[in-house]
Amino acid sequence: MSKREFLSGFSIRWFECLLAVPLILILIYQVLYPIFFESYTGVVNEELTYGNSEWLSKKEFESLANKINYEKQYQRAIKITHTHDNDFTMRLHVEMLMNTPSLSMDTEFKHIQYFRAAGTRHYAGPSTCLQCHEYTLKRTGPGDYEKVNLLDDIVESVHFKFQSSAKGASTFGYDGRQLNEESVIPLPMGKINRACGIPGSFSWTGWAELIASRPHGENDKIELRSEGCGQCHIGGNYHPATEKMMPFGDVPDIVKEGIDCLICHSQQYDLDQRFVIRDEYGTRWNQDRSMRAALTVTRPTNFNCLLCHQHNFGGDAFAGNYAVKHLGHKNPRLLHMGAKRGTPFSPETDVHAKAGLLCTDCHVPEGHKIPRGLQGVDLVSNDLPTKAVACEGCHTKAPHSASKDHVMLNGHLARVACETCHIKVLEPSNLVLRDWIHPSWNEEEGIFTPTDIYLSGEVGKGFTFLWFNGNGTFLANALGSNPTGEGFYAPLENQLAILGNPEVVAAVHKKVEELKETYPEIDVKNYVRNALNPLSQMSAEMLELRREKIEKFISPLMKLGTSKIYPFKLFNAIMYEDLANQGPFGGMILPFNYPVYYERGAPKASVAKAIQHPIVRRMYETPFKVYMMDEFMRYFGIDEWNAKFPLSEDGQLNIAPFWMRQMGSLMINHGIQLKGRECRECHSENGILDFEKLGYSAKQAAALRDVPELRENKVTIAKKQPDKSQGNSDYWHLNQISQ
Amino acid sequence: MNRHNWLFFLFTLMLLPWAVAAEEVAVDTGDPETIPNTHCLRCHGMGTLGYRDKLTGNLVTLQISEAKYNTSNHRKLDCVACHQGGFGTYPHPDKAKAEHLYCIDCHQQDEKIQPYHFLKIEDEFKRSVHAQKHPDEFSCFSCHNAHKFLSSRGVLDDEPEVGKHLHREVLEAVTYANNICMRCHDSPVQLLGLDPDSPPNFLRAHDWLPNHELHWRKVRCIDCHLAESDKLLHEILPAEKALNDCRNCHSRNSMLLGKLYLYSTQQSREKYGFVNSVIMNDAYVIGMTRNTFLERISLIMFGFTVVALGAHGLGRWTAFRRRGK
Repeated sequence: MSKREFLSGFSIRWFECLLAVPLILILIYQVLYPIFFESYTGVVNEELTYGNSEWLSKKEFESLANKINYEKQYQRAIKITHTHDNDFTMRLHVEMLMNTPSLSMDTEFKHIQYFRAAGTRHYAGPSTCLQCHEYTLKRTGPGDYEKVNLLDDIVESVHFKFQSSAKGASTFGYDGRQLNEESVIPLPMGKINRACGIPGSFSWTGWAELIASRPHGENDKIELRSEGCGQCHIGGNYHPATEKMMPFGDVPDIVKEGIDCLICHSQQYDLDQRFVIRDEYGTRWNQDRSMRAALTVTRPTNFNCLLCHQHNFGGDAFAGNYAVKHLGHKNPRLLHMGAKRGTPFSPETDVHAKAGLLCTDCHVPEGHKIPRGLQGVDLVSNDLPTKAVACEGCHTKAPHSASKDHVMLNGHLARVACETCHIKVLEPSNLVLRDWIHPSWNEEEGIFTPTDIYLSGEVGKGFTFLWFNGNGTFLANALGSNPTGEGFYAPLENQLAILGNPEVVAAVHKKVEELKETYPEIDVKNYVRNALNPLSQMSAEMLELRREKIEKFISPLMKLGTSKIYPFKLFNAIMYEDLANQGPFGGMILPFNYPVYYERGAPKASVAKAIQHPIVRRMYETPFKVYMMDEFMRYFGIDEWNAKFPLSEDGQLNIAPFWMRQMGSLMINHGIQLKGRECRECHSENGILDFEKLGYSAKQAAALRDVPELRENKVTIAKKQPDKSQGNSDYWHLNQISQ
Repeated sequence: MNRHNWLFFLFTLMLLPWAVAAEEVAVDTGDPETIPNTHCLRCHGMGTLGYRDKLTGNLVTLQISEAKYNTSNHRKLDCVACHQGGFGTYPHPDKAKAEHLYCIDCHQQDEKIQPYHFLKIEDEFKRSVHAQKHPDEFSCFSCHNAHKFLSSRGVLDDEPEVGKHLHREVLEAVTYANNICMRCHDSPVQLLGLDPDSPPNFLRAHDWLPNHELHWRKVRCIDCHLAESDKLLHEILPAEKALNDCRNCHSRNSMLLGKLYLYSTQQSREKYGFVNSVIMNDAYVIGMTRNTFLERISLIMFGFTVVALGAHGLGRWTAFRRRGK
């Protein structure tokens, strides 16, 4: 073989090899990895179909379009004519308006024309939308737009994957590290996997469940109810976006077809279509894919956002919650009565809602990513952690102009957040303490529910005031410090650890006495002590370790940035913890299986069932320990993940009930009232602010309670210090009481 | 006043030097009731104390920075020494808020202040473009904040701690001085209020000047907008009279040596000796910062290089010819 022949043979072979390598890689990634992934995590991906995704004939389309337009125009006409006193003249006025071409022209939903022109008479899901909206212009700044692939944009958004591993989050671990700031392998964090005592479960073990309820007594016929995290998330699949939790891999295309575009964009979305359906592959959430919903799409309005988010603000007990009036044509969704925040966003309860503002006026989206603001104390993920959502954005740094005290009120902004004065009370259904260990029979719903030990929306009970620099710990404790206080500010030992208000103590005591009737083994005194002072559950050594960690890691974080006084909703829950993974701030809480819990009221059996879900089992194996759990635990204040599965071969559970060692504090920013608090509501003997607990010395606190300007006679000339010998410059060394 | 102090004073570029000795000036009205500053600062120490002005909509701050006041020349004064007449009540009566304060009222009699030529400064100010065009709108306080400002000499010598930070670096001084001007000249709203018909547009007015940004950072506005002879720095010239010949600065006898770099050149001269100061001070201005010695040396080196290259070429050429034969 000549030299030349050898070379060409050699290079062809090399060329083939080079071509084969990427092909093999693609094969592995596209075919083998998904198979491996599904068998490893136990999740199911199948093609998703929806019964209400119907085909319309041309005639049906036109008749529906006419109906929609007629209804909308009629509503507008009613709105215009509502000032009439006389029903008859009003009717005539409406009649006139219904025949006014200019009114009908700008009333019509634009997509009716688009669909008519394109011959689209069937809504199939994202594929229908993407025919025109394959790309979208994403606004990245004033006048700046970027062209992005719409499907990628939404799949990467928190609304779809509900987690984020982006840097810049305002969450800090109890080991002092900012979440994902220095991580080699970033930890995806969000509602998908965070510890939370309100829902009691986590997204894999409680995604879409059917509960057999017995509302008419134990022996009567069963009614199926829907429950699970998936009711509020836009993915319609059999599990949350599990693929996105892994270091690589993507959600299959068939699953992307399950994304519910209409719940955010349709003005006539039928929430009665949101219920759990069971098919041959498992359970998942149904959606409204009707042509009526598709024809009425616009940019998202408050109607769309509040379909899900009113649940977090006002809660299901809030009378103005639209969603709870449409629980589902079939398998109606279960209600959750304890409110997460108790700050409804509705015209009756929020001045901005009353003014007709859109959610997106403050939360200005960039494509399909919606900002939550720079501050945040919970672990709910944030698509745009560096984009501000703040009162100052509209109200400037001097928002008060009308009051005679406007200058003074503006002055307070250096230390006091707007919300502190402008949110005076939360809904009474605001949930403070929840017991998952002792379920109560709910007669009306016919299920066992966790027992809500204490609900209150009042200051000092359901919420408190803390210094806040915008950051929070891994278990939602606000971080901050008093910039001028000469006292001792320690929320993790005070406001967040002890609920000492005598009325709270009495109410909790009464509730636990009631609970004792069902559960005679309860030691009331002990129970009340642990619930109101969760630190009392801890051993002396653990308390010492906690104190050390706070001093070493948390105290420096509290001094970061600029702190102001903010209001915070308080929350704690007693749940089962994995005894092998406990630390000074709390332990690894374990999820409940909803059907076992709701139907049988058997919390322990419910945990035993939930933790046998494949993905929880994987959590207790080495790959997950290395990839995620060790890091998770370090943020949690525990040195490493103990991968011993809490359910032994012989059925023994290594779990015990605990309250989190301090209460969680959730930011409250909605339910804003126009009129804020009066000066004396804080600056008086029994004011709402406990100045000593906020870190002021006794002397400073006394001066803050008794402000000369607020005394009756209002003459406030103070005598100069008689000791002249010290000279004028000594004023500067006097105890300064800066507001 | 000796020369040293005179130069030192001139470096006080941006502030009205306003000396105060508390013992002499402290107001003693015979009123037994006075208000300690701590009392005022309970509110006026609030970082966000302020309001939106009803006419302009601008944010007006009423905050007094305690830290800055404590290092300012007026730090030994009680608030009520200047702000008299009813500030003891809340809200302050309108009559009190309508007070009209004027620097010269306190300072003309004081011997310690004589070196600062307050009266001459006042004359200069009255001739300045601002006072000429808008006599009612401008006062000392339009540019100078009595709650912050510092003198760079004299009265502070007995308190080295306080005086230390006054020796500003040149760039810092430039930023400080230009910020005073830019507070208005960079704000169309402010200027519209004064001149609704033809608000000055400083970018357009400086079209002719190459490399804007660099100039804003490195030279003070007043370096061109003052007559060269103006050592009291207060007769701000209108645009048409301002210096606009590049050679004023970019030349060997740069005007800047007598203005912006006056103090630093003098300082470095003391430190490094006369010759080195030219090389070693921080200033670098095209045309101004030259060293003839270096210039000559580089010229000689260039000459040598040319000669060496020529010699080498010649050598190779002769060698080639020899080989050819």
